[in-house]
Amino acid sequence: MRDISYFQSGSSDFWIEMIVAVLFLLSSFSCLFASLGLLRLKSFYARLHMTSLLTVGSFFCIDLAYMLNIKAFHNVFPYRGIIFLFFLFLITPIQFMILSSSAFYREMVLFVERQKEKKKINFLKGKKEKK
Amino acid sequence: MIENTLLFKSLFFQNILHIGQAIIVLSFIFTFIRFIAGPRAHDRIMSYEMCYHLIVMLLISYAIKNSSEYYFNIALVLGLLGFVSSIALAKFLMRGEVIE
Repeated sequence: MRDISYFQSGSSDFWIEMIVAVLFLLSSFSCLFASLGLLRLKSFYARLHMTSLLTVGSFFCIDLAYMLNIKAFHNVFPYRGIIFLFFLFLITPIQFMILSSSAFYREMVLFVERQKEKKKINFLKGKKEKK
Repeated sequence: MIENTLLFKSLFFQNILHIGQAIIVLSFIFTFIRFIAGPRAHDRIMSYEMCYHLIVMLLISYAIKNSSEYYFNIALVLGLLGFVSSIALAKFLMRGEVIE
């Protein structure tokens, strides 16, 4: 660890650490806002929209922080970070899109079943259908 | 292999890492509340995915803190597993079966 003179020196290491810290805090706060939206928003689709956008942003920020840290301080090429970035940008929107489509399909099936039940009840009561 | 791990980190940076990890744990609590009190199955699956994402975030934060690549490998594998499990659950919701 380093003492206070490290902060006053203004070396390049200090600024790289500052950038990493800002990226990390940005990603953690976007995670917090995503979970708050998950808790507080009323519609399912609004919740899904908020979490999908903010999780992609948080992953992007934290992966940039990791790559910058390991390249600047240890001089290791961050190929795992690049793989992670590629996979997440490929995967996370697909994941949430499939979930939303399944939710829509399920709601549609429930709606059709309710309509059929209403028709049956009207038929048993002897009412005519509205055209 | 990386050596001299903690020598490069200042105290300020370590404090900020701890604050970020605390924020991630707080958001984990919020998602768990939604997991318990979700009105329908979709909300539960969505909060489950969010839990996976938060665990991956925590693992990458440990990787930044210790400057090790092992945590990052675990995070990569967990991300892929979360994708597969969420797609299986979504397909189960849609069709009633996973493998047809």
